[in-house]
Amino acid sequence: MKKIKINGKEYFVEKETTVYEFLKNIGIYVPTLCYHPYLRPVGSCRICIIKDRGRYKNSCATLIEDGMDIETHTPDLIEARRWILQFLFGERNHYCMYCAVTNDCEFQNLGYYVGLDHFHFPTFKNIFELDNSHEFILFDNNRCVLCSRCIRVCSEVGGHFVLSEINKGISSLIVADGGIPLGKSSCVSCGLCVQVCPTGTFIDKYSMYLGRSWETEKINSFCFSCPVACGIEIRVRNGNIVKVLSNWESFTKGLICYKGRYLSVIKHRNVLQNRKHFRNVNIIQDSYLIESIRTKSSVALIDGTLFNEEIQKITEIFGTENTYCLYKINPKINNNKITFDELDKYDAYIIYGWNLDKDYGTIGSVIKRNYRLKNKKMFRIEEVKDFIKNSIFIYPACFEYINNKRFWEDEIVLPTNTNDIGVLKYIGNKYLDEELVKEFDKIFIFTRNSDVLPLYEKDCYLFTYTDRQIEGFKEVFLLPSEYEIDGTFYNVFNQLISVKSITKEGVL
Amino acid sequence: MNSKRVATIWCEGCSGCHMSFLDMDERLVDLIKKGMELSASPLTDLKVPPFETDIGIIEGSVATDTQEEEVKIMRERCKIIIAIGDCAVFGGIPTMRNKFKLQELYNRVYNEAETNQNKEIPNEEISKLLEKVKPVNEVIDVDYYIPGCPPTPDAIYEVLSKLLEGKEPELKGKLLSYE
Repeated sequence: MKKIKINGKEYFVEKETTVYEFLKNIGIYVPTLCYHPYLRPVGSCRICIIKDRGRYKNSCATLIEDGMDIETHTPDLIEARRWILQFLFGERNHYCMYCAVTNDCEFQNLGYYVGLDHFHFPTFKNIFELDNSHEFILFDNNRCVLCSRCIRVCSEVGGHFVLSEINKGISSLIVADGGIPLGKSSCVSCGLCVQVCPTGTFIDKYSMYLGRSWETEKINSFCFSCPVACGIEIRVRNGNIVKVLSNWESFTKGLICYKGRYLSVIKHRNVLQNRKHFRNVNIIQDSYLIESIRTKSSVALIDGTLFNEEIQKITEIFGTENTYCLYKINPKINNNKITFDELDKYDAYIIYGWNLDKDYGTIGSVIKRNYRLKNKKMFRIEEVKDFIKNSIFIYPACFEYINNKRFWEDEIVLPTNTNDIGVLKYIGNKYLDEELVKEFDKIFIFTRNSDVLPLYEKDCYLFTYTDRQIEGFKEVFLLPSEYEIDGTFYNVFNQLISVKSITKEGVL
Repeated sequence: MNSKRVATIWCEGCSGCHMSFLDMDERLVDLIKKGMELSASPLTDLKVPPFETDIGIIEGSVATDTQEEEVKIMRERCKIIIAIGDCAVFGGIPTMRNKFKLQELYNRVYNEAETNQNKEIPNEEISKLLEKVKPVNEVIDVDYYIPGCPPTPDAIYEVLSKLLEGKEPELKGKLLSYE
């Protein structure tokens, strides 16, 4: 039990906590800039300055000690905060008026908070090159205040270790891979740096000028791009998806990859623009349309890009016996029992046939950061001759259990498509081989993947989600995107995830 | 009631702040009733204010040697200087050229530009560009700042009415904005 005084009032603190977090809990606002609730505090900006027994300290990185006498808003502290902010606004280009994030910027809000009405120190002392090489991110060191949030999130949370700081003093700058353009670096485009940046240094090219965060509606959902199903926070303005952020309070704790943050939204926008070229079909509502085309000898091929409700409807229309899997699915995925939180606790990971950055990026992040920061072991075996191509295994292993032969017991088999587990649950593991296909006249293919070739020389109908023309099919129908309908699906950890529709169908 | 002379000048800016000044509408009459006497403004085409002006309002940043001179004369002749608008306070849009060297800009604008037939850098009867565009407070001492692009009429009224009443103005909340 520690006894401390805050602005003359006595408090008793039991837990070990920083001064800033305690002040926040009891409702005293102290401005912060480099502090982020989900990152390790470094205390680099000093804006959260407080006075403890007459000495100035930064509250975000100071632990509470017994006998502290803290003052938070004395006139000299208010003056000190104004000068600290003047120092931060100097030297570089912190002109709010021609910045993309103006009016939606933590740094600018701090300026309003302390009442900064002019720059005391000259600007444009050191001019850095604008880095426009990245596909999704605009990177401008001239707007940087060196709070190092991006470096911390890139290493501690993402496990990518791309960003770092070089040089000293006025010429300090954030660089990717020691000084090469961001677009050519090993950046995996997860966009975490954009999300935590308090200034306009990192800017999303695909969401800039579409809506400030206070103009948008915040909707918590889950990503449908891969079977991990990370928690995401979708920002919607007038029915348009402005951007996708990761959700720090979800089970993935703020992790996200480029598929969830950028690719799905960009594809959604492209499809919306090309909608009028297709007949739009919602499997659940427009089932009569499928019924009208279907004959008695029809077969449906489905894959894991469909929601459970859609799969159920298809099996109702065609009968479970006439519904087959489009791709081969590894039946082992049904046995996945490890949860995302447990994945963090293993001592070693054995990975078969998987590039950690490309797919399932957030599982890769967990493994990479444990390997680099917590000195855990990682074994990667890239070429694997398995009976099913493209299947990926992770064997998280506990060293403690080696003697008890538990080493190989836990395994995660990563499904190829998002809802492969749902497909297995509804129709089982069965494929249409060339012998069988002769019995059917019409083939209906349901998949949100657009790179499908017409199968066999039959009447093929494709129900897909695409922004381009596909040839070879009798007719191509357009399914709604994952943002447009309600649905449930099973993620890689065998959890049933349900998502709500974000936008109305066909709203641009 | 003793009146106070107010003069305004317009440096490197778009005149938007003067528009915002006029946008005070009927509150201008309030200010005149409180003792404001507009002596020089861009409308009177006096480049510098008369001697013994009480309040000098500067719009726009300092980008040429003439403007530097004007601003200095303003400081000499005015008791109180108010920098008004993002250009005068921070440097504003004109500071975008600070990313480049002056010679690069001359080359781009007068030699490389497709629309320029003469390919000649003008050098007579025109004020010289400074190497860097500066906010007003880098040239002279400024007493009060009203940031904003343009600042709201409310903010200008707040500062001017307080000064005319002899009180200390302070911009808070929505009146303080630079976006």
